[in-house]
Amino acid sequence: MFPTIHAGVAMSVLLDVTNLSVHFPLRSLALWGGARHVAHAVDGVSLTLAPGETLGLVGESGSGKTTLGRAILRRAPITAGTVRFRGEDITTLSGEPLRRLRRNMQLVFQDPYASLNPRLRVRDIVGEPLEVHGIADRDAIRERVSRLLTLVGLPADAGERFPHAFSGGQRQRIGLARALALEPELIIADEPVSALDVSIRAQVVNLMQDLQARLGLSYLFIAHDLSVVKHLSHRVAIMYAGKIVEIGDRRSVYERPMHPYTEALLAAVPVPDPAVERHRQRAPLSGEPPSPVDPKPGCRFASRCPLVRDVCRETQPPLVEKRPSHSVACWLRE
Amino acid sequence: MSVAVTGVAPRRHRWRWRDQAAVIGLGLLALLVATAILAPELAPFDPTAISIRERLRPPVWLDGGSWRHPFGTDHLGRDVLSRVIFGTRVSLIAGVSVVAIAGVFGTVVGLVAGFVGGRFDALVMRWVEVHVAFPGLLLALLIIAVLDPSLLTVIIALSINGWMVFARLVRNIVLSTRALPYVEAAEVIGCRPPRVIFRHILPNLAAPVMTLAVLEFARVVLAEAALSFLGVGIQPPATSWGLDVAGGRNYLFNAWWLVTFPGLAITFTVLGVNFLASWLRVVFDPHEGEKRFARSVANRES
Amino acid sequence: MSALLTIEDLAIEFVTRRGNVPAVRGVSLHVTPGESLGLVGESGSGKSVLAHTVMGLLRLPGRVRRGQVRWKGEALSIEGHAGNDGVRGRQMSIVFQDALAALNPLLTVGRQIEEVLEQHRNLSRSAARERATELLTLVGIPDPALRLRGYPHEFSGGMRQRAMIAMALAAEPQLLIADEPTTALDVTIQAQIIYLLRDLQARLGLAMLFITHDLGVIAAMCDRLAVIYAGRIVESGPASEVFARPAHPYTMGLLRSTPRLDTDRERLTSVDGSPPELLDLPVGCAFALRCPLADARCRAEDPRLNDVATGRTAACFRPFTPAWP
Repeated sequence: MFPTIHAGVAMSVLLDVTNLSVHFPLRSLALWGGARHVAHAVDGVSLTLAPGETLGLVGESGSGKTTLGRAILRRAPITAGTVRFRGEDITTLSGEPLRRLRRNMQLVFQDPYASLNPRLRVRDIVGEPLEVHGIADRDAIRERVSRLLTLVGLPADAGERFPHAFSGGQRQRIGLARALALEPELIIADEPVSALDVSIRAQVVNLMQDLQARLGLSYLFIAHDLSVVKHLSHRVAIMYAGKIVEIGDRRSVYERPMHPYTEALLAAVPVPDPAVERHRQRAPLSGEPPSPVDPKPGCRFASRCPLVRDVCRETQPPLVEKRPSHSVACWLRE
Repeated sequence: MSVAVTGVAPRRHRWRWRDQAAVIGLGLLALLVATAILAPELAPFDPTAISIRERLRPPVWLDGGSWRHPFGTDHLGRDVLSRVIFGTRVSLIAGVSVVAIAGVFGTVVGLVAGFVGGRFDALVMRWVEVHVAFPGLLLALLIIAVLDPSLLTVIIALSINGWMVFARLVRNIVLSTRALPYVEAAEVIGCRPPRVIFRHILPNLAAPVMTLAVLEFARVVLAEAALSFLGVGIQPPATSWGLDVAGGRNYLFNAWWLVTFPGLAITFTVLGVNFLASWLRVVFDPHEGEKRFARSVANRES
Repeated sequence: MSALLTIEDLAIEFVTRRGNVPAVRGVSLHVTPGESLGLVGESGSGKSVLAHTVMGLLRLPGRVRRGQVRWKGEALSIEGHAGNDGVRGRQMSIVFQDALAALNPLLTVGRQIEEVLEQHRNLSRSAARERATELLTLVGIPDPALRLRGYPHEFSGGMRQRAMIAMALAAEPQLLIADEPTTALDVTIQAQIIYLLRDLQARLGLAMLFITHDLGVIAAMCDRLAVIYAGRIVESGPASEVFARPAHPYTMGLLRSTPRLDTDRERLTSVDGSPPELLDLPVGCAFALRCPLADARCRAEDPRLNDVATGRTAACFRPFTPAWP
């Protein structure tokens, strides 16, 4: 399907994102004239993902994490930069080739309720990808759907029922089964467990880990905090106001974070242990993320950074590898 | 009335039939349809038959009235009951045709505008806004002035005036539905646009478009009556409720029944349609249904 | 110490076409002055309904089946519109999860706070304005005089939550009910709000009923906690003891499945299955279907909430038995 492997790219890279930007021009409220404003949702992001690897992409609301995921899936307009999948440049793919790409890249949604069509039976939801890609005939689809449902831990008769008969956790399993139907190599999971209850969350996280082990999947796992990501990521990227501020091996990022924002994120998650919590006297990070519209020069985090210096307000720090497989964008680490 | 229905309806729908307004609404509309179809059978007289000897007879229960003309006769001695019965046909034909034409056209325009978006959408929606702002009756009068008054002209004029509300409703629903994760999911798994539209977006339109169509039907019945009343709608010797109200208004003080019976026919039709529309709203909105159910249980128990 | 708020055997049901859903099934709780009680439960456990009922906000299809809510020993009305009883809104007030929906979009934030002050504290208009400025300062909103003239939609999520806290504190209540006040917020903003609430509690001697699904937030905020499952309290006790040694298997499961940043586990323990359908509750313990310890007795008989240690209760036949490896 992808006959030309881009020269120079080793096959150990499944997804290669270089300098990706997604800028949205804002419609002016004035009838005519008025200054053109541009929202920098994603700004010069680079990352790679290896086969069978999970990259946790962590950011708060407005950080651009969801837009980045959609841009990789080619569902958000790319302003600059390239996305390569298995060595092939897919940045400008359109029409039928883009549709075929869907077989290799799938999406799992945050909202387990709104992401399943309430009017369709589960077997039709899970079987739809096979149907639209003409992969199998009716009987074969039925057969594969029941195998998929078993794979994600749903009862055999689940296919005959409608989504409303299922709980949030079960619906998320149905969403996973639909994403897996085409046997993709990459799954972009956009906060797949955020809407689930704690006791159910662990079920889905564990299932995703099991599926990865069995099927060799790669995950781009998007999350709004560092807690869940810790348990299933090999590497972690932290996004702030459209930029990756720190990216590296999980252990290194969690144990020796280099960016002040990463430290703040780690400190912000309360630990379920009063003994620990009572002794945490760290004052929380003050302020709020800056507006993505027409960003100021300098580091995006400067307005909230407790360690800010003059240089931070003037020049954007580059993302530099400071330790093996661990990069940070901060002038303090220069 | 409700007992006969519960036998067929699924169990969880049963309580809805207790909603008396809906039963009344449906009953009125069923009566309307039956009357229109069976008009030649039901009407005791030819609605256009003139009988000067029997002019301005009062209804049966007044002095001088008789069972021969239960609703009395008009200034030309025509039987009012027969005219009301035949008037049903005009109202129904006008209502159904206009809603069908305007509904289908408006829905298609709304679907395309919502799905294509961009310049086409902006253009269509500006047009809709201007069109909606333009006085409907005035436009209808203009069209009729060009095309000569007749039932067909009334239908054309009212259809031209009626499609925008459908277009706007459908376009807005398409836009909000497109943003739903399950529609995005359909696109991400590789569904082509027609499949996305017909399988995932279109079914969401059924309920609101149906409710709107029912309300539009009532509006069309009123508009046809208004146009006929003004003399630019249905032309004599054909019959229409609006025409009869117009013809009877000169006799309002000595023969009130000429205006009253066609007027009541219009009123009950619109009332029935509105009952039905409010019932549809409950049927299509589970939250509204649950609220009404809880209230009825609480009332019964207290 | 005598309790401020006492909930006695409260049962609430929702009238639906499919039947009456027992959302809360006989809950008893109390909050003493100055203490912070955490109520933890997952969605559908009945925790928010409970808070709404205490505040007199329960409306059809929800209704009280039995039980009582007392304020300093006096029974409060819980049916329908509770109205102005001098307790709700004044001696106890509530902070909701969705501040945008809870604030009036047509009034400035200042006007809304001033209204509380005028109504409950009988302040004049100018005194109310001055006090409102102080309150915004108290909850950490910069430029309070300016922000008072702003409308709710002009505030960010975190600032809105602060404004709602200021409004809840305006009447100088003795008890603050916080219904998932940080759930909709980003983590760094959540940390700010927790920090603020903890600080306010210490400074004002406020009692708090803190409702959340997040055990981490409870650990940060509360002295005591009660765990609610399928409309019933399954465990309660001092937070430090319950976290250190949970008595009920559900509490153990919750603790095990909450991801922690301070330990290095590759895998989370998961509690299998999902909460029972409230319309179709099992005969015995509501948790039996998901409990690794469940035996025939658990499936036949519903365990009552019993004392299991000093100040601790649990609704389990075998409290403290480790349920997960």
